[in-house]
Amino acid sequence: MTSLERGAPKIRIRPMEDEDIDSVLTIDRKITGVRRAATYTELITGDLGGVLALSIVAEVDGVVQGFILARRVYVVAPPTEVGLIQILGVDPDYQRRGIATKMVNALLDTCRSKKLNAVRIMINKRDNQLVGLFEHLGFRRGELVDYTKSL
Amino acid sequence: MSAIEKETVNIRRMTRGDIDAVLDIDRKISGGRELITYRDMVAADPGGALDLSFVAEVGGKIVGFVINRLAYLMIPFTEVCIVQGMLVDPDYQGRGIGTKLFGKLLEHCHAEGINTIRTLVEEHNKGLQQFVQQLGFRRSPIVNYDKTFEV
Repeated sequence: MTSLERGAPKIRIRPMEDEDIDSVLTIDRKITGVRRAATYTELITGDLGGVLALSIVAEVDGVVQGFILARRVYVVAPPTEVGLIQILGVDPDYQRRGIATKMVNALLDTCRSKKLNAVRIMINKRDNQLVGLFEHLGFRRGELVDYTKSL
Repeated sequence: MSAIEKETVNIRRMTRGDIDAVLDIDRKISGGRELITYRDMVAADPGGALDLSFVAEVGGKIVGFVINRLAYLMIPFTEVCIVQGMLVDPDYQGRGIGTKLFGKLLEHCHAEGINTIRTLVEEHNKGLQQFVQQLGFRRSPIVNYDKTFEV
Protein backbone atom coordinates (compact mmCIF):
# COMPACT_ATOMS: atom_id res chain seq x y z
CA MET A 1 0.00 0.00 0.00
CA THR A 2 1.44 3.33 -0.95
CA SER A 3 1.30 6.33 1.28
CA LEU A 4 -1.23 7.81 -1.11
CA GLU A 5 -3.68 5.00 -0.47
CA ARG A 6 -3.34 5.13 3.30
CA GLY A 7 -4.90 8.48 3.83
CA ALA A 8 -6.55 11.02 1.61
CA PRO A 9 -3.75 12.97 -0.06
CA LYS A 10 -3.81 16.68 0.52
CA ILE A 11 -4.39 18.42 -2.78
CA ARG A 12 -3.70 22.12 -2.68
CA ILE A 13 -4.29 24.47 -5.58
CA ARG A 14 -2.33 27.72 -5.57
CA PRO A 15 -1.02 30.36 -7.98
CA MET A 16 2.15 29.46 -9.88
CA GLU A 17 5.35 31.13 -8.72
CA ASP A 18 8.79 31.57 -10.28
CA GLU A 19 10.14 28.71 -8.17
CA ASP A 20 7.67 26.27 -9.79
CA ILE A 21 9.30 26.41 -13.20
CA ASP A 22 11.50 23.35 -12.64
CA SER A 23 8.56 21.26 -11.40
CA VAL A 24 6.44 22.36 -14.34
CA LEU A 25 9.16 21.45 -16.82
CA THR A 26 9.69 18.08 -15.13
CA ILE A 27 6.00 17.16 -15.41
CA ASP A 28 5.88 18.38 -18.97
CA ARG A 29 8.88 16.24 -19.94
CA LYS A 30 7.33 13.25 -18.22
CA ILE A 31 4.13 13.69 -20.25
CA THR A 32 5.64 14.46 -23.62
CA GLY A 33 8.86 12.51 -23.32
CA VAL A 34 10.75 15.37 -24.90
CA ARG A 35 13.19 17.81 -23.53
CA ARG A 36 11.93 20.90 -25.18
CA ALA A 37 14.12 23.59 -26.61
CA ALA A 38 14.96 26.83 -24.86
CA THR A 39 11.82 28.35 -26.31
CA TYR A 40 9.78 26.60 -23.66
CA THR A 41 11.72 28.22 -20.87
CA GLU A 42 11.19 31.51 -22.64
CA LEU A 43 7.49 30.85 -22.57
CA ILE A 44 7.58 30.74 -18.83
CA THR A 45 10.36 33.14 -18.02
CA GLY A 46 10.08 35.55 -20.91
CA ASP A 47 6.98 37.28 -19.69
CA LEU A 48 6.54 36.33 -16.09
CA GLY A 49 3.99 38.98 -15.24
CA GLY A 50 1.77 37.87 -18.08
CA VAL A 51 1.96 34.16 -17.44
CA LEU A 52 1.99 34.19 -13.69
CA ALA A 53 -1.06 36.41 -13.56
CA LEU A 54 -3.34 33.39 -14.10
CA SER A 55 -1.20 30.26 -13.96
CA ILE A 56 -1.86 27.64 -11.33
CA VAL A 57 -0.16 24.62 -9.81
CA ALA A 58 -1.58 21.66 -7.90
CA GLU A 59 0.40 20.22 -5.03
CA VAL A 60 -0.19 16.73 -3.68
CA ASP A 61 1.27 16.37 -0.20
CA GLY A 62 3.44 19.40 -0.82
CA VAL A 63 4.83 18.35 -4.21
CA VAL A 64 3.76 20.00 -7.47
CA GLN A 65 2.04 17.34 -9.60
CA GLY A 66 0.01 19.46 -11.99
CA PHE A 67 -0.09 22.87 -13.61
CA ILE A 68 -2.07 25.17 -15.85
CA LEU A 69 -0.30 27.82 -17.88
CA ALA A 70 -2.85 30.48 -18.68
CA ARG A 71 -2.79 34.12 -19.62
CA ARG A 72 -5.06 37.05 -20.32
CA VAL A 73 -5.55 37.66 -24.01
CA TYR A 74 -7.68 39.93 -26.12
CA VAL A 75 -9.60 38.03 -28.74
CA VAL A 76 -11.60 39.35 -31.65
CA ALA A 77 -14.45 36.92 -32.06
CA PRO A 78 -16.33 38.24 -30.18
CA PRO A 79 -14.13 41.14 -29.05
CA THR A 80 -13.46 40.41 -25.44
CA GLU A 81 -10.83 39.67 -22.85
CA VAL A 82 -10.47 36.02 -21.94
CA GLY A 83 -8.28 33.80 -19.83
CA LEU A 84 -6.63 31.43 -22.32
CA ILE A 85 -5.46 28.04 -21.08
CA GLN A 86 -2.22 27.43 -22.93
CA ILE A 87 -1.03 24.20 -21.38
CA LEU A 88 -2.59 21.91 -18.80
CA GLY A 89 -0.49 19.10 -17.43
CA VAL A 90 -0.86 16.52 -14.66
CA ASP A 91 1.88 14.04 -13.77
CA PRO A 92 0.79 10.69 -15.31
CA ASP A 93 1.13 9.03 -11.88
CA TYR A 94 -1.43 11.46 -10.46
CA GLN A 95 -3.98 11.55 -13.25
CA ARG A 96 -7.64 10.52 -12.79
CA ARG A 97 -7.81 12.00 -9.29
CA GLY A 98 -9.68 15.17 -10.19
CA ILE A 99 -6.58 17.36 -10.11
CA ALA A 100 -7.28 18.93 -13.52
CA THR A 101 -10.86 19.64 -12.49
CA LYS A 102 -9.72 21.34 -9.29
CA MET A 103 -7.18 23.45 -11.17
CA VAL A 104 -9.63 24.51 -13.88
CA ASN A 105 -12.24 25.42 -11.26
CA ALA A 106 -9.64 27.52 -9.44
CA LEU A 107 -8.77 29.24 -12.72
CA LEU A 108 -12.46 29.94 -13.38
CA ASP A 109 -12.78 31.55 -9.93
CA THR A 110 -9.70 33.69 -10.54
CA CYS A 111 -10.88 34.83 -13.97
CA ARG A 112 -14.35 35.59 -12.66
CA SER A 113 -12.88 37.69 -9.85
CA LYS A 114 -10.67 39.54 -12.34
CA LYS A 115 -13.81 40.40 -14.37
CA LEU A 116 -12.69 38.51 -17.46
CA ASN A 117 -15.56 37.53 -19.74
CA ALA A 118 -14.62 33.95 -20.39
CA VAL A 119 -12.06 31.19 -20.15
CA ARG A 120 -11.00 29.56 -23.40
CA ILE A 121 -9.03 26.49 -24.40
CA MET A 122 -8.21 25.33 -27.90
CA ILE A 123 -8.83 21.58 -28.14
CA ASN A 124 -8.41 18.94 -30.79
CA LYS A 125 -12.07 18.01 -31.31
CA ARG A 126 -11.07 14.37 -31.73
CA ASP A 127 -9.50 14.29 -28.26
CA ASN A 128 -12.52 12.78 -26.52
CA GLN A 129 -10.91 12.75 -23.09
CA LEU A 130 -10.09 16.47 -23.13
CA VAL A 131 -13.38 17.44 -24.79
CA GLY A 132 -15.26 15.37 -22.19
CA LEU A 133 -13.40 16.97 -19.29
CA PHE A 134 -14.07 20.52 -20.45
CA GLU A 135 -17.70 19.87 -21.37
CA HIS A 136 -18.15 18.44 -17.90
CA LEU A 137 -16.66 21.66 -16.51
CA GLY A 138 -19.25 23.74 -18.35
CA PHE A 139 -17.24 24.71 -21.42
CA ARG A 140 -19.07 24.85 -24.74
CA ARG A 141 -17.79 24.54 -28.27
CA GLY A 142 -17.26 27.97 -29.83
CA GLU A 143 -17.43 29.33 -33.36
CA LEU A 144 -13.76 29.27 -34.21
CA VAL A 145 -11.87 26.82 -36.36
CA ASP A 146 -8.14 26.68 -36.73
CA TYR A 147 -6.40 26.98 -40.09
CA THR A 148 -2.74 26.07 -40.26
CA LYS A 149 -0.06 26.47 -42.87
CA SER A 150 3.21 24.59 -42.53
CA LEU A 151 6.23 26.09 -44.23
CA MET B 1 -4.98 50.84 -66.60
CA SER B 2 -5.59 53.65 -64.13
CA ALA B 3 -2.78 55.57 -62.47
CA ILE B 4 -3.49 53.96 -59.14
CA GLU B 5 -3.11 50.43 -60.53
CA LYS B 6 0.34 51.21 -61.86
CA GLU B 7 1.63 52.20 -58.44
CA THR B 8 3.75 49.68 -56.69
CA VAL B 9 2.67 48.13 -53.44
CA ASN B 10 5.35 48.30 -50.79
CA ILE B 11 5.13 45.79 -47.94
CA ARG B 12 7.05 46.53 -44.74
CA ARG B 13 7.02 45.70 -41.03
CA MET B 14 4.49 47.62 -38.95
CA THR B 15 5.79 50.09 -36.35
CA ARG B 16 4.15 51.92 -33.46
CA GLY B 17 3.91 54.98 -35.69
CA ASP B 18 1.45 53.11 -37.93
CA ILE B 19 -1.21 52.64 -35.27
CA ASP B 20 -3.32 55.65 -36.30
CA ALA B 21 -3.27 54.67 -39.99
CA VAL B 22 -4.27 51.11 -39.07
CA LEU B 23 -7.16 52.34 -36.94
CA ASP B 24 -8.28 54.69 -39.77
CA ILE B 25 -8.65 51.71 -42.13
CA ASP B 26 -10.55 49.85 -39.44
CA ARG B 27 -12.98 52.77 -38.97
CA LYS B 28 -13.46 53.10 -42.72
CA ILE B 29 -14.43 49.44 -43.00
CA SER B 30 -16.43 49.06 -39.84
CA GLY B 31 -18.23 52.37 -40.06
CA GLY B 32 -17.02 53.31 -36.59
CA ARG B 33 -17.87 50.00 -34.88
CA GLU B 34 -14.24 49.47 -33.96
CA LEU B 35 -13.33 45.94 -34.95
CA ILE B 36 -9.86 46.81 -33.69
CA THR B 37 -9.40 49.14 -30.73
CA TYR B 38 -6.46 51.25 -29.69
CA ARG B 39 -6.08 48.86 -26.79
CA ASP B 40 -5.77 45.94 -29.22
CA MET B 41 -3.01 47.81 -31.01
CA VAL B 42 -1.15 48.47 -27.78
CA ALA B 43 -1.47 44.76 -26.96
CA ALA B 44 -0.21 43.86 -30.45
CA ASP B 45 2.85 46.03 -29.72
CA PRO B 46 3.89 46.72 -33.34
CA GLY B 47 7.65 46.48 -33.67
CA GLY B 48 7.91 44.62 -30.34
CA ALA B 49 9.82 41.41 -29.73
CA LEU B 50 6.89 39.09 -30.50
CA ASP B 51 5.25 41.19 -33.19
CA LEU B 52 5.24 40.00 -36.81
CA SER B 53 2.84 42.54 -38.33
CA PHE B 54 3.13 44.06 -41.80
CA VAL B 55 1.59 47.03 -43.59
CA ALA B 56 1.02 47.60 -47.31
CA GLU B 57 1.70 51.05 -48.72
CA VAL B 58 0.65 52.49 -52.05
CA GLY B 59 2.23 55.84 -52.87
CA GLY B 60 3.41 56.13 -49.26
CA LYS B 61 -0.11 55.67 -47.86
CA ILE B 62 -1.00 52.67 -45.72
CA VAL B 63 -3.81 50.81 -47.47
CA GLY B 64 -3.75 47.45 -45.71
CA PHE B 65 -2.23 45.50 -42.88
CA VAL B 66 -1.96 42.10 -41.28
CA ILE B 67 -1.42 41.79 -37.53
CA ASN B 68 0.56 38.73 -36.48
CA ARG B 69 2.22 37.55 -33.35
CA LEU B 70 4.81 34.96 -32.45
CA ALA B 71 3.44 32.54 -29.87
CA TYR B 72 4.08 29.22 -28.27
CA LEU B 73 1.15 26.84 -28.37
CA MET B 74 0.25 23.35 -27.36
CA ILE B 75 -1.40 20.77 -29.65
CA PRO B 76 1.17 20.27 -30.97
CA PHE B 77 3.61 22.29 -28.93
CA THR B 78 5.48 24.54 -31.28
CA GLU B 79 6.63 28.05 -32.02
CA VAL B 80 4.03 29.51 -34.33
CA CYS B 81 3.02 32.73 -35.98
CA ILE B 82 -0.58 33.63 -35.18
CA VAL B 83 -2.44 35.74 -37.69
CA GLN B 84 -4.76 37.92 -35.62
CA GLY B 85 -6.38 40.09 -38.24
CA MET B 86 -6.07 41.51 -41.72
CA LEU B 87 -7.79 44.44 -43.40
CA VAL B 88 -7.41 46.17 -46.75
CA ASP B 89 -8.84 49.63 -47.48
CA PRO B 90 -12.04 49.07 -49.53
CA ASP B 91 -10.73 51.45 -52.22
CA TYR B 92 -7.76 49.15 -52.73
CA GLN B 93 -9.40 45.74 -52.45
CA GLY B 94 -9.30 43.26 -55.32
CA ARG B 95 -5.70 44.11 -56.23
CA GLY B 96 -4.00 41.25 -54.49
CA ILE B 97 -2.82 43.36 -51.56
CA GLY B 98 -3.92 40.75 -49.01
CA THR B 99 -2.04 38.07 -50.92
CA LYS B 100 1.07 40.29 -51.05
CA LEU B 101 0.87 40.91 -47.29
CA PHE B 102 0.68 37.17 -46.65
CA GLY B 103 3.46 36.50 -49.16
CA LYS B 104 5.79 38.79 -47.22
CA LEU B 105 4.76 37.23 -43.92
CA LEU B 106 5.46 33.70 -45.22
CA GLU B 107 8.83 34.81 -46.56
CA HIS B 108 9.72 36.36 -43.20
CA CYS B 109 8.61 33.32 -41.17
CA HIS B 110 10.54 31.01 -43.44
CA ALA B 111 13.70 33.09 -43.01
CA GLU B 112 13.24 33.15 -39.24
CA GLY B 113 12.69 29.40 -38.97
CA ILE B 114 9.07 29.76 -37.87
CA ASN B 115 7.53 26.74 -39.55
CA THR B 116 3.87 27.09 -38.71
CA ILE B 117 1.37 29.87 -39.31
CA ARG B 118 -2.07 29.63 -37.78
CA THR B 119 -5.21 31.65 -37.76
CA LEU B 120 -8.64 31.26 -36.25
CA VAL B 121 -11.60 31.80 -38.52
CA GLU B 122 -15.26 31.90 -37.57
CA GLU B 123 -17.19 28.85 -38.75
CA HIS B 124 -19.70 30.95 -40.71
CA ASN B 125 -17.10 33.15 -42.44
CA LYS B 126 -16.79 31.10 -45.63
CA GLY B 127 -15.23 33.98 -47.60
CA LEU B 128 -12.29 34.23 -45.23
CA GLN B 129 -11.94 30.45 -45.09
CA GLN B 130 -11.72 30.37 -48.89
CA PHE B 131 -9.11 33.14 -48.88
CA VAL B 132 -6.82 31.38 -46.39
CA GLN B 133 -7.28 28.05 -48.20
CA GLN B 134 -6.08 29.69 -51.40
CA LEU B 135 -2.98 30.78 -49.49
CA GLY B 136 -2.28 27.17 -48.57
CA PHE B 137 -3.82 27.04 -45.09
CA ARG B 138 -5.54 23.80 -44.15
CA ARG B 139 -8.29 23.31 -41.64
CA SER B 140 -7.11 21.53 -38.48
CA PRO B 141 -9.20 19.67 -35.89
CA ILE B 142 -8.50 22.38 -33.30
CA VAL B 143 -11.56 24.28 -32.11
CA ASN B 144 -12.25 26.60 -29.20
CA TYR B 145 -14.12 25.62 -26.07
CA ASP B 146 -15.25 28.56 -23.96
CA LYS B 147 -16.83 28.98 -20.60
CA THR B 148 -18.48 32.36 -20.61
CA PHE B 149 -19.42 34.06 -17.36
CA GLU B 150 -22.85 35.53 -16.91
CA VAL B 151 -22.42 39.27 -16.48
